[in-house]
Amino acid sequence: MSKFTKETAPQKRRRNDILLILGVIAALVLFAAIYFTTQKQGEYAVVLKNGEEIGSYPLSQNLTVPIKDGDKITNTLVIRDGEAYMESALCPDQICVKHKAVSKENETIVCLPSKIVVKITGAGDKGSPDTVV
Amino acid sequence: MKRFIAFATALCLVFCLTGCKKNKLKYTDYTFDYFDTATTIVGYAGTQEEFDLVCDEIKELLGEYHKLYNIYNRYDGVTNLCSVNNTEDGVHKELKVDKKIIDLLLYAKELYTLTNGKMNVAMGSVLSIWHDYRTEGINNPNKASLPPMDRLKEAAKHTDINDLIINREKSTVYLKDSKMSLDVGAIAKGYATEQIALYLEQKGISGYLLNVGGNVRCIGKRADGEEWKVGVENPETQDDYLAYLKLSDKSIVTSGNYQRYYTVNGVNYHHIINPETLMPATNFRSVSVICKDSGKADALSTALFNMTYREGSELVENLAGIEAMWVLPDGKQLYSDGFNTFTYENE
Repeated sequence: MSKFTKETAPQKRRRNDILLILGVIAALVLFAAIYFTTQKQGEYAVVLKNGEEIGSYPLSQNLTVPIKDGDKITNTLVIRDGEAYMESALCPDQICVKHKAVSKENETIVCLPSKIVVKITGAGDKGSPDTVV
Repeated sequence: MKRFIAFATALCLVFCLTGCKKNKLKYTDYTFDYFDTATTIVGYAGTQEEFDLVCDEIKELLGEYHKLYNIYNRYDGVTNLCSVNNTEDGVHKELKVDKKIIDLLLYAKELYTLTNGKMNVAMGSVLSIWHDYRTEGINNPNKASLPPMDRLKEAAKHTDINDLIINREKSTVYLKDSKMSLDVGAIAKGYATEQIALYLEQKGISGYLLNVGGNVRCIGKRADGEEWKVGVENPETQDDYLAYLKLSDKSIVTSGNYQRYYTVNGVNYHHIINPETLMPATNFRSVSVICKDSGKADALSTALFNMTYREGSELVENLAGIEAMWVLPDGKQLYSDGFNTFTYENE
């Protein structure tokens, strides 16, 4: 920094230099702003069928989501009080219906017969698991 | 001054570029195509395409192992374990099979010895009876019933692992007892997962996690340098986890009475059958095993489930690099000596 102040360059050049620095900083701020605002905000229950995303629902709203296979509703997902759970399923084993409600990052409900995964995203990685067994 | 500006700009550029490069993103892929279960692949990559390439490779291998180790279905042009179990004119044939089958069965024999027969792939005759009654009981809950004990006992006469004849040089398999059959459900998924992990490691791939139906294997650490965090679910409560684990280059497998079962007269009968009683083992709710080798973790979790806590903990303490957690029917948790080196407190 001391080198900078000792510099005996003409005023105009120094002003241009400052403008350049400000320009670079502005660009960085803009970049950061775009980066952070395009990140998905809030917590979502993402529904995947056979690995493909078929829907995404905010946990902040109470919702009942019918999950269809063609015209047939195979599973009914309910979002209530910031948690998602499977209310009903056509499959015989009912493992997804018995599964606890999910609300933390990376938590999932899996329905094997219908090939459905309900996954929580956007809840922030506060020490929550990468995977669950 | 000019020099300073140039330097500062260059510095900014370097930060931006390396920042982007270092900033690998986390991707997840779900598939239902293998081992009749849900598979999750978690990995860090620079782009979705890069992640997809690795996933494709993993899935191709999973598909190959799935076909070879399948005991229920046959596939065109593939000699698999279903072919090995098949009989013609009342006897099994000696079949030439893929090296992947030979290696699995040799490993299964090794694990049979290690676990004093508490994990036996030659128990197909007994397990297939339970499988049929369970499938029927799930599909028609009103008609659910238990297999007759005399039928199970008759089948149990044909479960001698020494009648599984493997010829390594000729790459052939032969079941000497015409009434015996193989069921590799306690080891195949884990063994395949391990082989795929080893393949990825050999290729220098790191920062991936495979979860093949609860059979977890971490490859390296996460891209942020942290260890992988794995939650062991508690099926009995609504929000608690039994344990939070921090793992890298390790595998965890849980065998539980809640994963596959059917109900007869209000009682749940699960899928892990004790070789001695021929009934679902009742000592634990679940047993989790941590070790590097996912095949070993898979087989040991089943074996420990079939043992008493004393037998099991003795076995674990005598083995290097194995940790275990037992959950008793009342919910009490017991741990091997080093298990807590892998746990962490969450929030």
